Amino acid sequence: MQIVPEKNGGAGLKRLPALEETSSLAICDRRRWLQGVGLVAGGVLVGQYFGLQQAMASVLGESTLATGLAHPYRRHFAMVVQQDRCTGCGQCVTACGQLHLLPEGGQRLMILERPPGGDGPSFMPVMCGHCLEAPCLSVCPTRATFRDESSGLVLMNEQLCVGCRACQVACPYNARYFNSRNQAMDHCDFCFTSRLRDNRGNPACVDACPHEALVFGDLLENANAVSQLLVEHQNRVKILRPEKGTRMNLYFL
Amino acid sequence: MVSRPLITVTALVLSLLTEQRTREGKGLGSHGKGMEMAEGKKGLMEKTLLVNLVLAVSGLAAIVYAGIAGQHAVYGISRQVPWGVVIGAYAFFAAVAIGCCLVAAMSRVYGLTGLAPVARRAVFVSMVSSVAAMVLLMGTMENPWRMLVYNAVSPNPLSNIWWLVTLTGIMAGCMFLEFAAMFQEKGPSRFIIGFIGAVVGVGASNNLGGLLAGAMDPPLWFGGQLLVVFLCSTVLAGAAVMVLVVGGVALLSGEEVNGDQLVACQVLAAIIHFMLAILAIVMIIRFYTVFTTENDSGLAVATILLRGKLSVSFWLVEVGIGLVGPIVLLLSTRENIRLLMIAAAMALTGLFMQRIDLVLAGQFTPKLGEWQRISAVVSYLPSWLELVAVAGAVGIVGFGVLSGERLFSRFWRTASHPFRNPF
Repeated sequence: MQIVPEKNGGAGLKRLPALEETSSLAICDRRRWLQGVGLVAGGVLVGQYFGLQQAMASVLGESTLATGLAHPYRRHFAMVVQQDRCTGCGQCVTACGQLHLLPEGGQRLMILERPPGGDGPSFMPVMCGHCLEAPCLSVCPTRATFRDESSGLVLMNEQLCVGCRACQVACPYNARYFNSRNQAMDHCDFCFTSRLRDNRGNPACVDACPHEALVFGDLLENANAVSQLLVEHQNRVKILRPEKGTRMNLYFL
Repeated sequence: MVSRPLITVTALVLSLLTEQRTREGKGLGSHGKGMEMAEGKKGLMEKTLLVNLVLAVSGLAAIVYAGIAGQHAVYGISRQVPWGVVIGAYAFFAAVAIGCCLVAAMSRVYGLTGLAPVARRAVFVSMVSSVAAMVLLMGTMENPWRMLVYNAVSPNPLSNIWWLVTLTGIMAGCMFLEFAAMFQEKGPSRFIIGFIGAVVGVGASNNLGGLLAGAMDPPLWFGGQLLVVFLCSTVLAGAAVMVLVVGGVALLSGEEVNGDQLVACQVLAAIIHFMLAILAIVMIIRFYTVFTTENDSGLAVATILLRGKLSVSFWLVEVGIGLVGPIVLLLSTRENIRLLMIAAAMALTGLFMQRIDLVLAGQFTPKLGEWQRISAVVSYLPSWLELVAVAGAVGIVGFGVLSGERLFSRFWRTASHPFRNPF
C-alpha cells in the first residue's frame, strides 16, 4: 500500500478512509473491533514481511480513530479544524499568547496560509496534535517531554528541558518552538494546565474563534461535538502527513 | 572573578611556551638528531599555539555569550531550521574523537602494529577532540547544565542524544584512563580500557548517525547504509586527523617524518583510501536507488543536495574536495608526507561539509509543503558567533594537541610497547 499525499487538498493532507466501513467513533462493536484487530494484526505481519513499515504505521493510525477502542488512555482529546470557516483573523493566536504569556515570536498555534491561486481553503491553523506515536517523546534525552497518563496528552516538564531542540527537529508538523520566557521547549497542550485539568472550559483558541472554526472535545464521549463532527463528515476528514504514522489527534474538515 | 582564570590561563601559556627551552636546558628535549628543532622553525610552534589559544578562548566566549543571551537570539537558527552549523561541527568533532579512539584501538587492542607509533598520540587526540565536541554540544543546548544532571537522573534510553552523550562520555573516560595508563603500560588493563572505548565509540558513532538521520525529514540515510556511512566516515576522520597531527607537528617543529612514523602515516593513508572508496560506493548506490525507486523517502533531501540549495557544497566540497580529490591523490603516491597531509586535509574538509549538509538538508525540506508560507524562505545563514564557536573547537583541538606535544611527546616518541594479547 503506497501512501501518496493528495494534491487537490493541499500538500501533506490525505483523506481518511470512510469511518462507517469499520465502526462509529464512540459506539463499541465487539465483533467489528475484533475484525479490525484481526485485520490490523494480519496487516502488520504482511507489512513486515514485505517491508512496508511506513504503510503499516499509517494503517494503524487510521484504525485507532475508526474503532475508538485502541486508544490506551482514559481520555481521547482531539481538535477538529473546520478549514472553510477559518478566515485567518488570528484571534486564536492572540488568545493563546495572552493566556500563556508567550514571548514575542513564540507561537503554540500557527495559522498557515496557502500561496494565492490554489483551490480550497486559504488558511490552516496548526498546533500540536498530541500524537499517540509522538516522535518528540522518543528523542527527548531527559524525558522532559512526557505523556500524561490521565489525559493521554503530550506535556512538558520544563525543569528537565535541556533545550537541545531535538523535539523541534523531530516534529513533522513544526508544532514546537523554544520558549525563551520558560527557557524550555514549548507546544500546545490543549490548555491542559491552565484550563482542562481543572474543568475550566475549552482551550483559549476554541473560545476565541469568532467563526467556530476550531472544535475541541473528548472522542470517548458519545455526545461530544468532535465525535459528531467526525461521524457526520467522515468522508472528508483529513489528517496531516499520515505517512509519518504519528496517529495525531488534530483533524481537518 | 574573571582575573583568576585569566591568570591561570596566562601562566599555562607561559609555561607551555617556555617548556621547550627548559627541556632543552635539561637535555629532555632532544630525542636524537631528528628531534632537534630547526632554528628557523622555533617561533612557528609558539605562534601556532597562540593562534589556537586565541581561537579556543574566542570560541568559548562565544558559546558562553550564546548561553547567556540565548542561542535563539544570537544564532542564525529559526523555528524551521533549529539546528545549525554548531551541531554539525559537534558531529564532526565527535567523529574525530571516536575515530582517533578507533585508530588507537586498532593498534593497542587489535594488534595492527603499523599504527603503534601513532597509537598513544591517537589516545591523546581523542581526549582533546572529545573535549572540543562536548564544548560544542553544550553550545547547542539552551540549558546545558541540566544535561549534566538529568542525563543521569532522568534518562530516556529511546533517545539518540541520550545514548550519544552517555557513550561519548564513557569513551572519553576510557581515553583519559588509557592516557593515564600510558605512563604505567599495564597490558591487560590497557587492553580492557581500549576495548571498552572502541566498542562504546562504535555505539556512539551509530547513535550520531541516528541523530542526524532523525534530523532528516525524510531521512536520506537509514538502516544498514547509515551504519556503514557513519562508521566509515568516523574511522576516516580519525585516520585523517592523525596524519595531519603527525605531519603538522613535524612541520611546525622543523622535523622530518620518517622511519616508523612515516610507515604509520602510510598505513593511515591506506585506511583513508579504503574508507573513501567504501563511502563513494555507498553514496553512489544510495543516490541511484533514490532516483530509480518510486516513492523513495529520501528523494526530497537528495534533490536539495544534488540540485538544490546545498548543491554547491555537496558537489564541490563533499564530492570534489572530500571524495574524488583525496582518492586521486592517494592513488598517485603514499611516500610524500606533504601529499598525504593534503589528502587528509581534503578528506576532513569534505567530511566536515558532509556533517553540515546532513544537518541542514533535511531541515530545508518544508514539513508542511505549500501550506508553509515561510517555506519559500526556509533557509539558514550562520551568525558570526556560530562561526566563532566552531573556530573555537578547532582552536581547542589545535591548542590541546600542540600542548600535548610540548608536555607529553616523550611518551609517544619513545619506543612503542609491542602489542600483547592478554588472552
